[in-house]
Amino acid sequence: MRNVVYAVMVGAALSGCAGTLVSQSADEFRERVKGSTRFGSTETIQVPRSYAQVSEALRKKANECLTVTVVSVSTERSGGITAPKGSRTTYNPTLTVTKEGTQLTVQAAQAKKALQLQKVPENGFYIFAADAKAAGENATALTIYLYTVDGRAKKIDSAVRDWARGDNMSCPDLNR
Amino acid sequence: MRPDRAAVRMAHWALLALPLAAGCSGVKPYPNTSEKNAVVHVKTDSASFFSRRQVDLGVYTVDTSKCTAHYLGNVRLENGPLELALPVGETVLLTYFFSRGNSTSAIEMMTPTRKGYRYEFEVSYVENSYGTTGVELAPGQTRGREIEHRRFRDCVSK
Repeated sequence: MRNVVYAVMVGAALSGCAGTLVSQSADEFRERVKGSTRFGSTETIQVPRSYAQVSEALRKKANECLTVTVVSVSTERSGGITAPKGSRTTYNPTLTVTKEGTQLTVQAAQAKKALQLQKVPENGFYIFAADAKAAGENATALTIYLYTVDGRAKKIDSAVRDWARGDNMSCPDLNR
Repeated sequence: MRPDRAAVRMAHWALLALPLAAGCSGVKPYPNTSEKNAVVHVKTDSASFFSRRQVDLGVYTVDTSKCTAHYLGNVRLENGPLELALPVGETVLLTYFFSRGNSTSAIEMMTPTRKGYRYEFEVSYVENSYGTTGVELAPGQTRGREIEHRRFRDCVSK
């Protein structure tokens, strides 16, 4: 049931009530986050490091920290019976480096696909994107697109900002 | 799904359920008996009883031509260094399981292992972050090749 709610929320949150609720591409996700103030946030920050440094940090840390699978188990009571209930989410980061900049997107794929009201992209729902561009010799503009309802997306957001600044290079604990 | 791939996923599930089973699981211990060629430096804080952090390592060998894996066993990682005997001349998959409360995160590394080489890993699970890095050191060298974070699920048959 939680998966269905998740699917509907992600879709509805970023939909703008369009025909297809779930973003099918990273660009679509960015557009929908820009257009949603309730469930998405967009922010551009200036990082006092060179674009090369920021791009390399994103590449290294995304591979190291965001190619992760998280399993949670809880108990669910139904009809007087308490039973264990598990969920598994695999996070799939994608990094694209071009002359114009570095783009990082993160998708979250749920293991159980019990009922999908909308087509879900192969690597899961888009929950986060960050675009880095040079903004001077020792400055980089980092634009963050965040699906704010997802607690783990917020942790990823915080970590990516740290990596870009070179402040804290540890991986975010995605356990709940 | 190929049988071996299914077996690996089952083993993953078994390991991921470790903290929930509270030491009562039947997960196979890794037979760490051959010549030690690796060391794992572990740093973790115990936190409170209810939010206790735990790190386990699952060891597999992978046939990269077929993308099949063979589960060898698991090791509980405690604070301090642990000498490890990794199979030599194979591609080894190391899956680190970081557990807290009722949730477990798995991070994977894959590397071919070579005779005479040493493998050094740093693993930490402190406060709100975890991580693992590894290097391969040629005989007599103190600086080595960084070991990639690669997932078994991303293996492509040759």
